[in-house]
Amino acid sequence: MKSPVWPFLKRDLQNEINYRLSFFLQLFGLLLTLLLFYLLSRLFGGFVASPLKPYGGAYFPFVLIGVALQSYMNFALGGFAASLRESQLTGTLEAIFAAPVGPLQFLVGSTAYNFVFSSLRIFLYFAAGAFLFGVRLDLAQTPLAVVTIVLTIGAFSVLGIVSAGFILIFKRGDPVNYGISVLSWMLGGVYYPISILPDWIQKIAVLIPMTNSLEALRRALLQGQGLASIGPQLAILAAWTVLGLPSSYLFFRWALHRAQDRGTLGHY
Amino acid sequence: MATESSEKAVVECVRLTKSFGTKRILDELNFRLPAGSITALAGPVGAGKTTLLKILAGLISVSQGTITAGGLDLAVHCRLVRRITGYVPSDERSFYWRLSGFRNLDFFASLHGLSKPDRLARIRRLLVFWGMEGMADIPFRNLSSGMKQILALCRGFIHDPALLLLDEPCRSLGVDTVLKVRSAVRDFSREKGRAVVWATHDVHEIKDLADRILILKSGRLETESPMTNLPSIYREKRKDSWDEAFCAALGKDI
Repeated sequence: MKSPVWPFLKRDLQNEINYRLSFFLQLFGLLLTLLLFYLLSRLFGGFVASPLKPYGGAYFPFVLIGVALQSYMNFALGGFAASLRESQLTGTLEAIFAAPVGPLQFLVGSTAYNFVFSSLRIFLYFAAGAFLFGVRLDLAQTPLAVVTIVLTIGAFSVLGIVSAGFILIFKRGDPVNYGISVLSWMLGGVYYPISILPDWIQKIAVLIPMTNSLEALRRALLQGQGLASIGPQLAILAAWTVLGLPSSYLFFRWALHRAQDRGTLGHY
Repeated sequence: MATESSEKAVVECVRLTKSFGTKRILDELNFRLPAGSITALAGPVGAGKTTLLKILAGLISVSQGTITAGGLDLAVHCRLVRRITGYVPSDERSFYWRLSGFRNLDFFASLHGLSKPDRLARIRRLLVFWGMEGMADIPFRNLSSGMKQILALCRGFIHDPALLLLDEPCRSLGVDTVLKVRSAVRDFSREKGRAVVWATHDVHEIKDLADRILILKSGRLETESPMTNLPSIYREKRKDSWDEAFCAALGKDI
């Protein structure tokens, strides 16, 4: 039997074909971002800032992983909510739920394309970094990097699903998405190592999924470190996933029932 | 002819009540939708017709009372009930505008778990029936309002539901297509034994089609009767013609 996610994936692929220009602009934007950071990193020349030493010392490889994962986080965080919002605006949300579709199928199905596409983007970021800008990634740690990314998807999805629940309730204005995005961007170590932050902020930062994903990926891909080194980060990501996914799903289901009770499922 | 109580009911509503906040939208409705019957759902604007259809489609939950559809309690087995229900909304804003009519139908049919060959065969059959086979690949946004409405009807029929809910299905349609819709719905109900609910404001759409009529007024079931009995019900009010009786039922004088 075909996966219940497949109809959604196929629909989004067909829909995306209608937005070819947007697709190519995104790829162009990706290269432009990398070029910008590459040129910025050349400003420093051979200078090695001590906070970057645990990651090999060079700024560009450090920020390459940062921006690649940030784009992933943006998709994971915003993807659920954006997909739901689009269904509200196009009026298809009620049509979908008039079919025998459950909340889980809707959540996974509606964001499957985003995850596939953003995974492709991560790959493109790394490929462009390696082939165009000469970044050396430790490919021997690829399996560990994949595990990290899978756990990252789980951890980010927790917040993304909660965010979608908020959209069902409030329709507009998404406090979770905004708050987590800013927090991850500022404290997660996307553009700078968190070691330059005050101690008390670092203690908060290590609880954020972004911080742990970045730390694990950088150590694995830039320094070739193994499971023994990045185990604590993976444990935190796993905890987010295992504890957070069921809770966020229950919250979304509650928000859906609330919308059905109030007759606001199709409102926007 | 079987009596109504002995007819097999696809849907049975008992004391169905719906409130939004403190406002009661539907008030203790009791009715049955027998298999093989077409039920007209009428009432003035704001009477609760669309809310009732959405409740039967599993899109809005009830506040009190029970709905049994296909032998299943809707509150407990909502997804299973949706499997046997087709819903045609009155709003054309329920499709993907950049996808073709064919792809839209394919997507919604696949949500009902139909296999690919089955989907293709059903979509082709429906498009041919409605004379839309030449427009299958046109993006939904480029179709006329009437064509969009026909696609909405196709979506309602596509999984051959035991219960078909139509919310003003003839909106935006020409006279010839309205006749075709009436004929298709009649055949669907009579030949396949399906229950159909047809919500409308237009007496002429349903006068010769529906077997029964439910008239809602301010959320209450004002009238539930065989269609042919409507004039006699209102004869006491000296409304002899069918149109006058219908208007009287809606609380309007002509």
